[in-house]
Amino acid sequence: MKSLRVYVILSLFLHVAFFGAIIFTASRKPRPVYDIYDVSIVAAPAPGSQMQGRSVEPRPRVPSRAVKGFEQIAKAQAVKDKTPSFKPIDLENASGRSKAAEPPEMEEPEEQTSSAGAYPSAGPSAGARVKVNMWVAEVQATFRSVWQAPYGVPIKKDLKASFTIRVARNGEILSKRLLLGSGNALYDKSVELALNKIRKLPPPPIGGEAAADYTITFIPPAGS
Amino acid sequence: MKRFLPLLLVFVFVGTLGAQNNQIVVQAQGIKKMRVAMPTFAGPADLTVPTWAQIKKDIEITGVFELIDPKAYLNQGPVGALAQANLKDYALIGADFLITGSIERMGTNATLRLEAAEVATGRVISRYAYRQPANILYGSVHDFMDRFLKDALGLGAIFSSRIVAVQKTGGAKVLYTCWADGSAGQAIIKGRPGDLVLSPAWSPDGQRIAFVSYARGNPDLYLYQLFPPKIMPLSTYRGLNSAPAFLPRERKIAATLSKDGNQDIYIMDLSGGHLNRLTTAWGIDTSPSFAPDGRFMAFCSDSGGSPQIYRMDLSSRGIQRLTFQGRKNSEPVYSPRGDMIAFTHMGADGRFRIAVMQADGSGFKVLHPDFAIEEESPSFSPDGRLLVYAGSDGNLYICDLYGSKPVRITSDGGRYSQPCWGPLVR
Repeated sequence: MKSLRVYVILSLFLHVAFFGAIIFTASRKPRPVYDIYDVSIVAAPAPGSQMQGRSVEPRPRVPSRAVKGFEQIAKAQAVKDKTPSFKPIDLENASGRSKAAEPPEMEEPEEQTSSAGAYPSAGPSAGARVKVNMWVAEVQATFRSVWQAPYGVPIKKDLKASFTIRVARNGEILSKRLLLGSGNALYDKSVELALNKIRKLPPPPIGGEAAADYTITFIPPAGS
Repeated sequence: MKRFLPLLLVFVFVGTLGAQNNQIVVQAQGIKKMRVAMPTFAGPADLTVPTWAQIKKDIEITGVFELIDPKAYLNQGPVGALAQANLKDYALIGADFLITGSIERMGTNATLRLEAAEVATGRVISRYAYRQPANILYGSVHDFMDRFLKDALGLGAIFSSRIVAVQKTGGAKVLYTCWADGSAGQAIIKGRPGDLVLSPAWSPDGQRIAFVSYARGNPDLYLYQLFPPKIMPLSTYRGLNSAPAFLPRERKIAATLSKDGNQDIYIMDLSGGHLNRLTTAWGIDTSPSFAPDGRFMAFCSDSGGSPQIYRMDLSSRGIQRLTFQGRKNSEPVYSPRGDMIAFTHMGADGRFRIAVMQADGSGFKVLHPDFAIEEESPSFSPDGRLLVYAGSDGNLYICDLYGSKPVRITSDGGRYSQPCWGPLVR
């Protein structure tokens, strides 16, 4: 119990110190990014006026040409005397050069259309969808090349058999099993025989996964 | 832990819901038969050649297989066993299955070895050996084909069954029987020249054949018992005794009798007694056929003005007309599955064709509308997938229910008619 009290007090102390440091840090005046110079922007007094109290040595003449670029500003400051003065730069020219220093804007790619479907104008998700659709079309063509509805079965439009196949990242079919039979053993068998002929599909777009499951449903020809 | 289990299950359930739903639909582009490759068999040519030819014919009869032309094979044989075959050679030509065989003669006997494999996987589907007298190897082929159908596709047997038909020969008509593929055909009942033997019908157990004979100068009904062979008169009423049909579940038989002045359908027991009249309307009622569950009887009647197919509910005796198409519809036969009725249809062109319909009369379909040879007298196979019928060229044909090309099973020039496909021979 005594030790628990010690730990609680220690924890409170550390919490207070932590938050106090945050507050202290936030309250400090931020260090300026650049040196601050007191600049008198008033006009020079007329000769003989009493305002000429303190004589000011003529400041070194800064090249009159417009300073362009931040690095040139730094050089100008570096040659100043101990009482530096800050001559205003040509902001318009400086902004123009700064604009030129920025990387050029990316041109918007033109929208393209094709028979496979509209390509996305931008964005990675739409591109992934296109890849998936193309892969599905390839898989369908692969299965259609080895399977047709069998003779000896009354072909009805609601006849269908579904198989689940497990496909590796390289397209290899790792396993297959009947998920939902059609009710006709011959129809299911014809699908099973066709699946046995295919050992590898085009690599599926499954990202980082080692394998993925797909449900393939086989339906009779159109018009049945 | 128990308190956390429901929460855990919720997370698992939500997780599965969130799993990616990867569904792909593949639509077939057409319909095709399974392709079989069969190189020539190893062994003496006088045995291998006819055996190979019989299997080739049986493959066509199945309606679900087609044999790839051997000219397309990289290795046409002889290949005596699967171990001698390179499956890739047959995969290249699109074969789904491969059948190999070898025959070894041992005196008057022969040993027949047949194997079948799935080409894509190399899995052996069927492997059987038979030892029989060399002159009846066809029986082994029937057994192998039935087993191959079952092993490969889960289909029922058809080849271990027999067909009885009427054969016109030498000026007389005789009862003729053969195996389902037409092999080992022979006349079983011969009458005197000029005799007529008609309308054979198998009993459900395959032990008897009912038929009509004019042996006494009157169309009488007889019962032929196969084992031991014996012929017994069944119905010899004056006038017509014809169109016998066995009831599926009772030891009774139906026939058309004209003893009461009109051709009506009666039921009697196998001794000819206990006569029960089913139809009473005017007109000719004939060709009874019973549903496998015994609830309905299909028959042909011209009470509507032309021969059409009707169905009677045997419990209520209610009658429903099923056909309205064409000029005539006759000779109905129920499928062993009870779902369809096949019959002889005369279209508007006056030609006879085999047609099928659902048991309630819907789904009317002519199987071969463009076939040059006319068709009549259909009869279903034991599994209900195929039909045998008589062609106008005098031959018997077997076809499926989907309009594919029929296979001729007789070729010896005999004029065959009124076939009836019997049950499997046990």
